[in-house]
Amino acid sequence: MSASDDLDLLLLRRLDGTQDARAAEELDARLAADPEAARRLCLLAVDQAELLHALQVGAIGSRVLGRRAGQAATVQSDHPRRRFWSRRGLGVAVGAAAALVIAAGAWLLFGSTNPALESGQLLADGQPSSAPREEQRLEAVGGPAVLRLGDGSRVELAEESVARLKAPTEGLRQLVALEEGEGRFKVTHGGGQFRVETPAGRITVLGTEFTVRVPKKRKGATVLDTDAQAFSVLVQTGRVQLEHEGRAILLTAGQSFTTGSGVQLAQQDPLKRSAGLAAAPSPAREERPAKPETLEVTGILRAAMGEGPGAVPEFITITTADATVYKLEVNAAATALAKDFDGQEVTVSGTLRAVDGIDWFTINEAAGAGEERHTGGPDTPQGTEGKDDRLKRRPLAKPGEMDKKPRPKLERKPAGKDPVE
Amino acid sequence: MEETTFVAQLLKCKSMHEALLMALVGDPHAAEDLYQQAAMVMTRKRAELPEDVPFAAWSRSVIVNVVRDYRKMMARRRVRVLEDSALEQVARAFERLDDDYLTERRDALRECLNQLQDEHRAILWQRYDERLSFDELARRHDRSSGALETLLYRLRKVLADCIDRRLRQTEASA
Repeated sequence: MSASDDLDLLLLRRLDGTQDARAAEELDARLAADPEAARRLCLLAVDQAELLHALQVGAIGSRVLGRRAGQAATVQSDHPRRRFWSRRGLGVAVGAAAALVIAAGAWLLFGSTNPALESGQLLADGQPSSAPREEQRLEAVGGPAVLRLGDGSRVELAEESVARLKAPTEGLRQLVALEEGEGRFKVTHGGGQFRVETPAGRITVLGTEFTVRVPKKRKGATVLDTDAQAFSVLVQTGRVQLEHEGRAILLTAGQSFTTGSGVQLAQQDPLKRSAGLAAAPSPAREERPAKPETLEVTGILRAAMGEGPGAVPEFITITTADATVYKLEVNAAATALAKDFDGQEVTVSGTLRAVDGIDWFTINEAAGAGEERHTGGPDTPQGTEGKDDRLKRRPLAKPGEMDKKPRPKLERKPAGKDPVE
Repeated sequence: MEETTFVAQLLKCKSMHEALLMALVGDPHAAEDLYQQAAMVMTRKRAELPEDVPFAAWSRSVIVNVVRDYRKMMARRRVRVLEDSALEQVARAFERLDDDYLTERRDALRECLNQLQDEHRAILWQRYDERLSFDELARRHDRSSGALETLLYRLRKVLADCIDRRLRQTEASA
């Protein structure tokens, strides 16, 4: 193996987070002294970033699955595609997607440039259709319907949702008008932009996964009704640019935007606040589940603190190992957590409430209700003992430990049954 | 900088920012978190961006500063992040990358990726998209963890070599 091969392997391990401490130290010295090594690291890093995007492209993704025309096509739970259909991160679209079964015949159509129904039932201008055309009124009936679009992107329309495929203009490669209901979009990377239009705003994306919801029209409603001007967007992966009332707003993975009475943000988040929109708490919605789900969540806590003494956090999130982002309701427990553990890995227990397609995580505040515990032990940083007994804190994985000590995945389990006990 | 322009620039540079962060911190999870942090800083400070400074250069400096802060934080936990001299060197190397070359490189990567076997692409997908550890990969592919680790880096090396070869061919034919 040549010296350049050796260097490449060292650099690839570094980018992958699997380098041991000694090798990292040696490589640092080499990077500092050798501009060519630094350049090679940059190029391999660019490759890795691009690799992630390329692998997410639908055409490649489908080949990753090993699916070819005529093969069995039931989606299996242990499948790469699972990330697309069942990794909701947040939101209510997940339930339907988890049970998704793709009809075998649909794969025969894969590779075609015409839109095609992949699963579910679709009415096109009131008639059952598996090959919808532009400008037809498309309605998912009897459950969610999954459409593969001409550019390889996919949209899952929730039951009774209505959309139209429009002729792309202005350099767009795909244009979908979501008139009412909910659509979950998995957009492939490629030339031109993908756009979703709703009565209240439009979303332009480059390659991502997101959900858009437009309220169902009430009988007799007009476009001037507040509800008719409302919509919400939830970004599962990637990023989207949202245009609403003449403003452009950037949303990245785990972020959401909701309009309601006037303009409201679903959460206070610096990226969204920067758009100059008034922030307001999410209003009560009809869709609150009767019984919130209790969860234990482990992930990296991020908080943006307000300014001045006694400041409270403006937003708090926990990002789990599988990149799910939980938005925390800002209460006393969350505030205490944000002040002491910003940027650190924590495990908290609480309830999850879906509010208009966005999951809000509320940390249990009641004393004694806590499944959160302080683990103590040799890995626990000094000076935190007794600070918050409801907290279980773990140190961040060190570079090179990624595989020796994998980060915990999100664990969903009933409160009080923690195996650590 | 005007907001719409800023958002467009931020989107345009996202891959580059992600790559820079991966190169600087060597931990995909941390790089992802730091990207969010850096984007927030840029959003907050965009008004301070001088008109005569290109966005790409300014955003790189923001990212380097975010990484420096991260390094301080990790140093308290005795976790090592790139030394300052190496950090400077890598940041400088990023500055010198040519946009056209990178575009060609991305195209080459996609072509090379399509030449891999389905199983090998699946392994890359599972490692980088699903974030499986080598142990998890080993269970899924019924091989040893060490074998999967060796295979993954071999695949990455094959890809890198394929990209270099294609770029050399393009250059020679130009």
